[in-house]
Amino acid sequence: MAAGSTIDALGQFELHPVLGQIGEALRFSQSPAFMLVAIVLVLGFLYIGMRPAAVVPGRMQAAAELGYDFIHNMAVETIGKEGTAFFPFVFALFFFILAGNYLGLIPYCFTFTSHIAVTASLAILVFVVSILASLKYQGIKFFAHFMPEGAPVFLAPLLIPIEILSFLSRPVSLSIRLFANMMAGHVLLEVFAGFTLMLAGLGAFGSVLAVAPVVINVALTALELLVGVLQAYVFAILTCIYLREAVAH
Amino acid sequence: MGAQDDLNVSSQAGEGAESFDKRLAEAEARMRGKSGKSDNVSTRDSGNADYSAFGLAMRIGTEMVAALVVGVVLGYGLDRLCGTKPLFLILFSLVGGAAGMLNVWRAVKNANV
Repeated sequence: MAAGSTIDALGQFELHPVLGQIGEALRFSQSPAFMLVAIVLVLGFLYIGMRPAAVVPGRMQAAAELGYDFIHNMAVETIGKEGTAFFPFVFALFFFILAGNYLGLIPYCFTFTSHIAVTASLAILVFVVSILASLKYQGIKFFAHFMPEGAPVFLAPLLIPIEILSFLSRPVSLSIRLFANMMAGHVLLEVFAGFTLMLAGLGAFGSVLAVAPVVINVALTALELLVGVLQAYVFAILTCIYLREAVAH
Repeated sequence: MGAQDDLNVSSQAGEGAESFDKRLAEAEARMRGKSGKSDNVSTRDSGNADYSAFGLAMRIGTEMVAALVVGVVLGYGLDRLCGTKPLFLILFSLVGGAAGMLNVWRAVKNANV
């Protein structure tokens, strides 16, 4: 937290054990705690939303159905007929990341998607699933994709490493994008909040000026709301795109 | 949820597995046609288009950097493994940069922005 004339923008990402003695013994930090909160929120949202199962949906049910339809359309349209098989996976990813991004915007909450360990695990999961799907749907032909069709054979020593690197960069770009966006947003919020404190310490004139960073922070919070859903969407759509390439024959 | 209603109605009257399969396929084709149509419209005019354009913008930068990072890490790792200090690092940095360009090209190729 910002104190006096220094801004500790990265302190918010430190992990501390929670739940007292039990948490310390289990090395249970805020990150898994908020993952559990996110899971409970998503499951609760779906359960409570769909409990009435009314023909004419109420607000909660309409929201739950919208979320379902949105991801379902995305999965089926992007992946194709096999999309329904991967729909639960994409749905879980999208809502888990979305809940994590939005939980982080609540004061005193921890953003678990701002840790590269978490985003890289999710990206590697997607990567492994897409490789397994490729091997299942295409078999050994999958490896033929590393040589672009119609390219001259003498270019193969150049093209194959490029294709392989391009393939291997997928989990890296997936994880860095989500982690960097979430971390940058929270660092910015913290820095501008620190400016407010520093200006307020300068006396009456400073207190007037200190309103400006607060205004910026309000705007940044709105931006973070957009970025949060957008990053979850990008993660999900890229998962779909990778899976489409995996199931394409 | 129109899909379930349609399927329930047709399954209630089902006698043979064969005819059910046929009707299921028909219903699915009908649903696909419906959802495909409505979504094409929404991609063109409303929120979906904004999402994909903004999402694409966010993709491109990391796509390029990520391939370069993978190239550098792979090259460095191979050098450590083989003891050929700068050789693989140089080679794989270049290949990584090329792969990054390829990634960006693939990302923007189909975008109608």
